[in-house]
Amino acid sequence: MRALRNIVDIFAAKRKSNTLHPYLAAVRSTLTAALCLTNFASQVVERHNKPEIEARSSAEVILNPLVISRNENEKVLIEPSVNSIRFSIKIKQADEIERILCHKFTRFMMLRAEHFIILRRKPIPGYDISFLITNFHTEQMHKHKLVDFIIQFMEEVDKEISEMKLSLKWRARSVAHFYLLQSADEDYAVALPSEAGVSIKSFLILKSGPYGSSRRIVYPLAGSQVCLPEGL
Amino acid sequence: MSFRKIDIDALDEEQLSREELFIFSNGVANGPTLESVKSGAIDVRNALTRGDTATALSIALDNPPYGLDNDEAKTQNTRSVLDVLSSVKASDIPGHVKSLSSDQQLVLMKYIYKGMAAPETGQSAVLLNWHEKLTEVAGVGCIVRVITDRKTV
Repeated sequence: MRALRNIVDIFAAKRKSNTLHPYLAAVRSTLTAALCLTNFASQVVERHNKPEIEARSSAEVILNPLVISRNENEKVLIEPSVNSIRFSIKIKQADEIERILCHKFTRFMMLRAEHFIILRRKPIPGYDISFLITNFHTEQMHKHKLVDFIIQFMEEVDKEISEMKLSLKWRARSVAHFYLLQSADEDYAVALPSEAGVSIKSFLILKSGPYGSSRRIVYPLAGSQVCLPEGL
Repeated sequence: MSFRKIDIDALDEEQLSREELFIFSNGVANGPTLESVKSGAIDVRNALTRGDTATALSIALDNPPYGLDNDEAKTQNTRSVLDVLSSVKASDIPGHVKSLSSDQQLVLMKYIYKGMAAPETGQSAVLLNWHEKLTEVAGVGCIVRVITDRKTV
């Protein structure tokens, strides 16, 4: 049974990487096409030069926005204009922990947006992180390196979040382990079934002392496994 | 205080509207109607049942509805193009792409992006495959034309 599950996992991983490659290839070619930018002063205000995709001063300088999606939870939005593009990523978030980690991670970077030069301080609604690339960026930096940077970012961010999730789970597990070891002198712990009846959400710890018995309910972190003290 | 919120630039006579931009890019205001698109969709389905995906693809890509208020016809044609794309085997894609004219390749690229904009249909993997093969043949220039063309499908 376990061997079967391993084979299924291997195939799932293979299929996943197979859709990741065309996804990134599509993002790469579309981004290369969209990054044809030129210096373009504001048509409305004299001596101003604004990224038109943000200013939206007139319709003719805004081009057609494109979406590239891998599935419903992973997609990018590219909004081109004559002198700037806006590139927004929706990062994969499978569960509540990944949602929190993703929010913290993108927030951490967006608070330091000036160090990343092309990062936007706020994402577009519906997306997790946005970049704003203007003609000045493409003049100062190599265009293909900018594209490489964004592709590498998209590869790394998924890896980063799954690594953070693993270390968070490991930490939760060891915390719960030590916490329950401390209460090993207590008489017994009873696992309370959750509403769904599948995973254990809380423990009831009963302790009998000289003044009668006390009861305490322990909530380990969601998703963690709890090691019960020996003899239970 | 509401006068401060009036967009006075929109009242400028030299400001171009979406309709004018559409006509400047050789867009025909009275494109294919919903009826002609529906009859085209029947031809596409007949070709598909015969297993002739190449003909089905070229029928679906010829004379697509553009227009600014032609949404029903656009959705109808998008559906028939996506039907064709999902019924072609992955190994046949390069041959199909090479047999298209450059205008048809441009229209196909527009429909691929349109399909990817709606990931809830679950066809993204197929469309990404088509996109990869089409970019190999038609190049990045095809994507640039999709970005700049006002005649959206």
